[in-house]
Amino acid sequence: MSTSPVAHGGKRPRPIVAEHVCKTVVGPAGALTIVDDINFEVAAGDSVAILGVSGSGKSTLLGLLAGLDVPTSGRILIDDREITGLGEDERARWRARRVGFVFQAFHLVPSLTALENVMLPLEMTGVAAARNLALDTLSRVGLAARAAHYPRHLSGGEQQRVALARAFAIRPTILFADEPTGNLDAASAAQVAALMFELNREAGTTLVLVTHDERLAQRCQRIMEMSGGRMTERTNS
Amino acid sequence: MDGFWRLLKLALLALRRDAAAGELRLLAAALVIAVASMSSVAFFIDRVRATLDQEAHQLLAADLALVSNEPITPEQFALANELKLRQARIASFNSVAVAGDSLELADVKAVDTGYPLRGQLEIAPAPASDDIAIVAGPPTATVWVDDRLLHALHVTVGDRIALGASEFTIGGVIVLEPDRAGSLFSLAPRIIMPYADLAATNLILPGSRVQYALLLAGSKEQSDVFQQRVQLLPGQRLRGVDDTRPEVNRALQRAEQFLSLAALTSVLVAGIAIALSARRFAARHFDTCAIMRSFGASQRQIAAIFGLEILLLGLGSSLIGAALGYGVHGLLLGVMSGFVSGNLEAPTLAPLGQSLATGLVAILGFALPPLLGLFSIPPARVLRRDMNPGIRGHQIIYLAAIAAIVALAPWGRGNDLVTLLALGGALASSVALALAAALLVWLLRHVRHGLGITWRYGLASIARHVGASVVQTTAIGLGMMVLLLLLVVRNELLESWLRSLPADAPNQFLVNIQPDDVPNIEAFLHARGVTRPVVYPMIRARLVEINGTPVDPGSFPDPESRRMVQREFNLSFTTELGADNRVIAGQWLDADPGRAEQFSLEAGIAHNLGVGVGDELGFQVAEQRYRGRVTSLREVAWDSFNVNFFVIGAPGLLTDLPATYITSFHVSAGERRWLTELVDHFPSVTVIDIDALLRQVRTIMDRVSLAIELVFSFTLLAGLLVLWAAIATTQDERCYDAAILKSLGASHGLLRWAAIIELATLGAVAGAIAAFGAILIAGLLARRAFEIEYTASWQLLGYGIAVSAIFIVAGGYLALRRALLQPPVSLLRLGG
Repeated sequence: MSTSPVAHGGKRPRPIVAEHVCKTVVGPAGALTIVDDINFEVAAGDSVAILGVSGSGKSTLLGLLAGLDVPTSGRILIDDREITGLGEDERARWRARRVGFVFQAFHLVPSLTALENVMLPLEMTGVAAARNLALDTLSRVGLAARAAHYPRHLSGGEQQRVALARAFAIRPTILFADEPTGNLDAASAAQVAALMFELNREAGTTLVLVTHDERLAQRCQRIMEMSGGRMTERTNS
Repeated sequence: MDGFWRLLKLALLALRRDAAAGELRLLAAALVIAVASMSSVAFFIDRVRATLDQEAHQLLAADLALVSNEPITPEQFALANELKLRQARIASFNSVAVAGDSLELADVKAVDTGYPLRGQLEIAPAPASDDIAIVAGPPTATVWVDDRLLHALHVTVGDRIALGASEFTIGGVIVLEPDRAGSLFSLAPRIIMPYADLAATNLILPGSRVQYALLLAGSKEQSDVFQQRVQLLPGQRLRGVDDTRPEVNRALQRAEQFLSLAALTSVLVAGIAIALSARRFAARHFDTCAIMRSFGASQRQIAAIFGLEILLLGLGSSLIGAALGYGVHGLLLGVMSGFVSGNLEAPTLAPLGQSLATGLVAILGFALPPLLGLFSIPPARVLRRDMNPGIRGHQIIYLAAIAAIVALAPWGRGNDLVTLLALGGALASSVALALAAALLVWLLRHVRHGLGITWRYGLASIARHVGASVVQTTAIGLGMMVLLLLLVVRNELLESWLRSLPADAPNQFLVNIQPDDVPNIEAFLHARGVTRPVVYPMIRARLVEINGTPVDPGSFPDPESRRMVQREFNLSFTTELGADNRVIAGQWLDADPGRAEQFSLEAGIAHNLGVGVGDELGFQVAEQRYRGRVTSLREVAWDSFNVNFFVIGAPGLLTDLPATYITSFHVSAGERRWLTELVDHFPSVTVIDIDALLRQVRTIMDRVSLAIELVFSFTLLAGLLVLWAAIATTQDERCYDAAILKSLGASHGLLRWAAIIELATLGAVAGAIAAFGAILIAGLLARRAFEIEYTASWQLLGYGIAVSAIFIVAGGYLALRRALLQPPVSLLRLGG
């Protein structure tokens, strides 16, 4: 049984379309299907939460949608362009211009300062005033004073705010967030979540959020549930 | 015992599993290089040493030799006959061998047909021929020669060569000459000729520089009686088999020390690689050990399994290293061929034991400290992964390992002080390199902010791993510095020194000129455009008294001075002070015949002998003793290549003594043909070609430094392993960084360039520090050893930077490749 494509919002542009996407890995015990025939669309500016328990395949699906990995079969279209047929460097170029990331473990480059981390994607796309833009974005997340600090000198909440600044600095059309509050205490988690949704609203970014936190998922417009590699949509209450 | 076998089995299992997982590759490679470098030198030194020791027994080709600067007296022959000792006569001297237009200074040895009394003389019909004959002295009108002479004179066996007034047929090539200890480092090629033909050559005339020897063989009692009864004249000495050749030993010791130092440097650099790889090995086994401990394994069991695994690895790698080193020692012998005699003793097991011991000490000393962490891992780590073992006492184990390896190095019988100085120098260089590297890494950290993303990221990676960057730069810089230094010494210093000589500096010396020949030689030279050849008289005398007290060689503390008073001096007499002499104390010799008892001494020798102006010296010439006061001390510019003397007497004192004459002059390359004519006209005169000697010195320097470079290339290889080990230690971080950058959209090209920039910068820093170090040491050597002005060549800096950067990029890129290929999706699995 396959999930039927979820039409949403009539004529609005569809920045993300997944068609019959499968991901199978071959292990010592034989082939294992992690993502099983996913069909899925997201309209521009929507926020979508993908909920599921550990091992349900939600992070793998995020990786496929973001072009970090390629599906075994099926295709993914972003802004009507098929990314599944692109080479790794082409996908990297596309990510650099269009995609922001927030990870559970922050994933800042340890050898670069907070400012340099935010500058990184800007410089990769050749933005002229990278430094000023990065400083502005750092100010927006309230960390201008910590610009010269290395990640190891920042708290978990601060590191995730730098990661948010890094993600939004390039004005992405899509933000992929993988358990963005999973490694944070309650207070920091609330602060980071509030900031993420605020920035998302301001920029009109499409948000795909992977989480097992029901309350965080509730803040999105749509909730998709994953289990055993399959996905179903739940109507947001 | 059962327990041990079970642990051994477990250790073998662990070894197989870790080897298959590639965890042990770097550790094993570092150990193989350490042991290979040490064993190549150990095998080389052992065989050359053993050969020298063996030669010491055959050194005399006899049981006893009476060595003399004058012919052996009839009384001495009579005593040998009376004691029924077997006898053979030898006369050794330098002379020029001529074939057609070619001439070559040769080391001539005239021997009786009974020679050698002990050992074997072997000759072959052609160079490199296996058809070797064991022979006694050559038959009349025949000579045997070194194959080097054949090349120099462009002749082959069967051709004829002239020695003095006689011609000889070349009857064979010398393969083995028993009493030639000097074969290890000899300059002039050998000619062996019949003693009976010596007189006819007219080469031996009064005052000629000849060393005579009477070889004797018989029972020990016969030899002992001869030793007790023989009357030794001044200048004569008895040599037994226990005598060794100090000059050969000294030369060999130097070579041994340099090679040992090179090997030791490689071992210590490889030690860094071993320590780094062991640290990574330990870190990757923390979880395994914690799990084993939580399941009930004791610390002792874990220590035994991993200890045995590492020991087995050490033994296996050391054996491979020793085999590799054995191969390389063959290369060393090849490089030194011609200087090291071709008939070497078979290798012994001692270097193998020495190398295996070095390997085991290296792996225990450098790998043990990180591994100790495994043994003390808390089982609670299975719950909290941040619980790492605390280890103390690293430094003590490292220091003990270094001390043990230094002690195990094949130092030969070198001078301990020189060894310590060399070690101190190497240590000081390492510390200086490390400090300079740390400073440069610190600077890089601050300059990167103004640069583009690729540069910034590449340099950030260096600054992030400060410790690893400093260690890599130091290890590679050390290897590079030595290689650059050898390059400077071989090329620039030697060239600068040769250039510092005047273009028309004398390049030919004529010695053994008989008084009757002096006017003819002067006329001969004058006719061929040699302007004003100055011909000096030369008298051989022994210093026997200082201020009326007999000279006792034992009273001089330094060996140089002792040798000086044991040998004969060349005295001259003149009243003309040479242009390259400067009186620095007292008054130059007075021409007044009434004040003949005066000597002028070269300042250096006066200092060594502890005499000054006003002291009285007594010299023995034949049966006569001549005394005079030192009236002046001179400073002599020896590198003018003019004839100069340590001791010059006033003419009145020495004029009547039997003298030979000496002169020097310059012949340009195009005019050398008349030298053959000179030898034809004056057969007893010996021509010494300084150009040829300089060429030979140059060849020796080239060969020796090539051998040292060969061993130091192990240091570079070990440096490369340090680089790999350091990259491997940071591999996980690098993979992680690469994944982040890729997820943010970095292309493979950007990461590749950042990696190249990181490696090239490290290489350039190491190369620059190495070049500065080499220039600094070369400057010191130039001033102290060569006494020339050395202008640092900035090309060397460029060369050092470029070579080192290319070397490190090429070597390091391979190790970094895995990180560059890291897929960005891996970040999603690192949830924390």
